[in-house]
Amino acid sequence: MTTRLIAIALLRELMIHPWQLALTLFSIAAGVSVVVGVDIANQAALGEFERANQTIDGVATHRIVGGPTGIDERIFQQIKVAAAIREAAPVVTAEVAVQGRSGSYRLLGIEPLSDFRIRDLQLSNAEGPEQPLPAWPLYVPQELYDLAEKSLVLKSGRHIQQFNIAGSLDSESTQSASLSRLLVTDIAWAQSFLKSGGRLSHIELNLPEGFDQSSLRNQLPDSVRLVDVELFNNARSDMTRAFRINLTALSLLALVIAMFLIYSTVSFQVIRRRHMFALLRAAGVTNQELVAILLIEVTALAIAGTAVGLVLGSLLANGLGAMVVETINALYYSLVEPAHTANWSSIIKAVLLGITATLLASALPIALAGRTTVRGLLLRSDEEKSARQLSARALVPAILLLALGIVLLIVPVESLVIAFIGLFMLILGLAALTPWVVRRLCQLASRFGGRALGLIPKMALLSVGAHLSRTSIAVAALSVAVSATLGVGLMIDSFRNSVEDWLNGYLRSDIYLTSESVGQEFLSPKFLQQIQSLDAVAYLSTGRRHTLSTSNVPTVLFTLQTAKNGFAGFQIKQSLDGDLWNRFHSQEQVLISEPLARRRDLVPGDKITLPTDHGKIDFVVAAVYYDYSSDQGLVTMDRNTYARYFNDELVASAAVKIVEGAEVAAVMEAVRNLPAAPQELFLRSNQGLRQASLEVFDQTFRVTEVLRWLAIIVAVVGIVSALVALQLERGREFAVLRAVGFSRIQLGIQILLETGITGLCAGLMAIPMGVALAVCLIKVINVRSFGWSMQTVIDGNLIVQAMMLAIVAATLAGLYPAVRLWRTEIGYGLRND
Amino acid sequence: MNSLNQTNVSLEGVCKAYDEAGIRRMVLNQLELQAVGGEFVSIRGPSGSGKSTLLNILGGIDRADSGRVQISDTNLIGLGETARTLFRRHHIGFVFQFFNLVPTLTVTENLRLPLELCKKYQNDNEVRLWLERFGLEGRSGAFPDVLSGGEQQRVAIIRAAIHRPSLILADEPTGNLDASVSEEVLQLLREVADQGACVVMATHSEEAAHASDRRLLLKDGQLYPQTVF
Ligand SMILES: Nc1ncnc2c1ncn2[C@@H]1O[C@H](COP(=O)(O)OP(=O)(O)OP(=O)(O)O)[C@@H](O)[C@H]1O
Ligand SMILES: [Mg+2]
Repeated sequence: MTTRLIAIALLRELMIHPWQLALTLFSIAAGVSVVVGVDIANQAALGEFERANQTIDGVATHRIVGGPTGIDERIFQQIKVAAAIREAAPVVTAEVAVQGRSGSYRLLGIEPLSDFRIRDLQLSNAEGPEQPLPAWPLYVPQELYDLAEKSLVLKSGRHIQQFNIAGSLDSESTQSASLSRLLVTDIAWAQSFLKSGGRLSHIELNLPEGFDQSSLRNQLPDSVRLVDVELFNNARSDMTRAFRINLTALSLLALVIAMFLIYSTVSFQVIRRRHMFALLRAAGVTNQELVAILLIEVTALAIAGTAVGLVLGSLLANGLGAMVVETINALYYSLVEPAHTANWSSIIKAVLLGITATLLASALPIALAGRTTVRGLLLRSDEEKSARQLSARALVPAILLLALGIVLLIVPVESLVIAFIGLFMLILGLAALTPWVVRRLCQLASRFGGRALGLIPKMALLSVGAHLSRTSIAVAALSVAVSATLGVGLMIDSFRNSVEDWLNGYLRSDIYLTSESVGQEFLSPKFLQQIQSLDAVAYLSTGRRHTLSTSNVPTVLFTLQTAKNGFAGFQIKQSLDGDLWNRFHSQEQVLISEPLARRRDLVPGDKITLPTDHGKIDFVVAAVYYDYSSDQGLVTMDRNTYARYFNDELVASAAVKIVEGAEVAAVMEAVRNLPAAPQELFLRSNQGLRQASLEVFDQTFRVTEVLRWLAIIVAVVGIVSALVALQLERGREFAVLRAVGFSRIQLGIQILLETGITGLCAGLMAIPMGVALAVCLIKVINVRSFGWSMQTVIDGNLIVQAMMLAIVAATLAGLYPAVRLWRTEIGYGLRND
Repeated sequence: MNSLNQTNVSLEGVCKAYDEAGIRRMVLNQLELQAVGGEFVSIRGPSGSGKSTLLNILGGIDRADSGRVQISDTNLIGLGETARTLFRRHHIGFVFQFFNLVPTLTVTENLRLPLELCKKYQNDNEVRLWLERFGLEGRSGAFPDVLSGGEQQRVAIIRAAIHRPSLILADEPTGNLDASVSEEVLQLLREVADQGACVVMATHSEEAAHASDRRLLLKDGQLYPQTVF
């Protein structure tokens, strides 16, 4: 093996260029940290969801659930006694707000004797076990208990009740963090609080293996169903799968950009040390030994960079975690709270990824170093020649990669992962084309610009082409990053446009009334009647959206009672022939939203089976309509149809169309003042609801935005350092030019022109890449992730912005060398190579 | 002193051609050379005549197209790249015109490098002895960039010789030194040869050539003795 001295020589060499060393470490750390950050954030969100479920589900394997109003209490006796299922626990549960505390809590009403077989909840009494419990007793998490309050006011919809704190909650099997949003009381108190006497939310069962489920199913009434808890929870966490895959893909894109930089910095280190390598080769060091020691060096860098990346990543995870949870809360279901516990799997994944990515990115430069010849005390022109050959040789693989990427994107499979692989190939292919394109562009410009160009610009153009071996990778990285911003930007823009268009058509009423978002709030029939009878009200639509959880695949059902006019707001994608209103209103047919049609592979004319209170019923799908409000998809059913199949009269929201000439604000006031109006009535104008909807939309993309900027920062640091290093290395060349008679201003301009042209090229490449990326995201990724189709909108502003970003970043890189040039003496430059 | 005391360098019918823009150009054409340990041979020739090419072939850096390159018992023509490198490590020392020293190693460390590569390093005594003998003891801890050109070149020659190779190849070792410094460098090469190594030096300079035992001229791809001048 090679000697210790060589290691010392290389190490000292690295230390002489601390900035490049720092940049290599930064590239590795940046890539790793983004991946780790997203991974931890994703896992935290998911883990929290699972932990919360675990605490709440306990050892339950199955659950008996009913329709929107739950199930009859007597079913519990029936199964416990008649079916002899010993491990069964009735539950009354609701999402509640606690006065004076933010966020929502889960209230669990249990029957302690049954419950301890299912859940490991330990209730410790404040007053000691022998004391009688107060009325409205409540067991609260330790953290709340420590506040030493006597009572808490709980709110669920229109129900408000003061509970007395009876003691604290504890659990041996789960971490206390997952109990932090749980409140426990006796089932009877919960029923009277929620005014649901005689009804249960569900019954938890722990069925032994081999239990005869079909006989149990036969004993249950039609409106009630036995579901598998695991399948049910899986379906719930599946909802966020696409969202999480998208985040992971973005983080991988950041890693790819980081790999470009690693490649570029390692190449730098190899090129810079070529004399030393040649010297070592002359002294009898073999190429294999050289490669081995470089591999060790790079591995050490990878380990150091990864370590830094892990630290940065866990910091990032804090911020991202909160955002991810917020988004999931806004879009899918309420999680408890983000918890960031860095888990080993994230860390191991990151370490492997960091080291593999670094080694992969360094493979080519190190292999080239392994071909060092002693004649390699050579001139740079040789390397430029080989870089030129390399960029020409990369042409065919680049085009193949592009073609393969496109094929993967257009093959009609539903796999999101394949789409992302295709997308990455497309990006890599385009990136691999970049050096060749930049060289060609410079050649063309200097040839056809001919006489029109002055000497300096012409020299700058030639110089950019000539130094590509040093800059092409940084340019490619910048192109990829800029195209990523452009692509994602165009996608979000197009998406937002589609959503806005859709909202404009969909929101046909003037005032929207909803319940408080926490808990279930319903609008009373009396109140609705009073609204209807107001003079200014043209017509009233009412709706209720809830999840039919009585099967393993939850379906969101939207029940709507509206006038024909209001119905016209649906933007139909495909429908059966004939009068749609009639089919919907009179023939018991349903509409389904686009994502649902895609998920379940349904077209108009197909049947969809829904679990109703009268058992499973098939409904004809009359039409598929555009809807961006849920990526799970919805079934929309007329209220009359609903009333026939469900024993549920509750209305959760209403929309008012006012007569011409009436004032929205005045009608809102009148509605608020109606005698039957509930206290927590939530009124929103059309405008307000539209804005709120767009806010949710923007919220969804906030994480994306952050990741996009991280990728840009990584790329900008990369291009700046690559260009600065290149320009600084040319001290001798500039000194010669100065000696020939070029002024400092001329050279300064040349440097800025060179870096600016480099940026321009990167920007130019980024435009087709960005647009291609946007089209992929819109036409393939989004459709496969969320099932939403939308129109592609190419906003010129975004393109100009992307272009400016590339040019400004690159030009900035020229400033420092230009200033330094200003300050150095010619002689110094000539003496110091 | 030398382990291969009777070094025999023997080149027979060595040919080397390069392709330049599709045209094949013979640089070395049926070249012959015989030299022995203790001999200091100089090779002159116009620029582009193939001096460096010849030295590179002797040192196993380049490979001749045909012929025989025999150094003691080894015919370099038959060896692969790695074998030639290992041969070079143990039996050959190189001195170039520039960039001879690893810039991030001190003088002592640079000198230790070939010893470590050959697994001959025990302690710095040997290094110190060499440095003292050539008046460089004060510079042992210095990095190459603070040495003068002459000092750098002397350290380079010591480094080429310290592991006692049988053949030392110097490609224009005095190329960028002034007369008096060149003198010292040539003196050093002379001493190395006296210790038993065979020294082959390529040079442009007539004075440098005069320091050698045998002067050869490389012309039209062949070597001619240059005794009369
Ligand atoms: N790798 C190569 N590829 C093509 N031609 C080469 C290569 N190396 C050397 N040559 C050519 O071979 C010829 C001999 O080169 P060489 O370097 O041996 O000459 P030299 O005598 O050392 O010249 P100088 O005195 O200038 O150093 C030159 O014409 C050179 O262009
Ligand atoms: Mg030469």
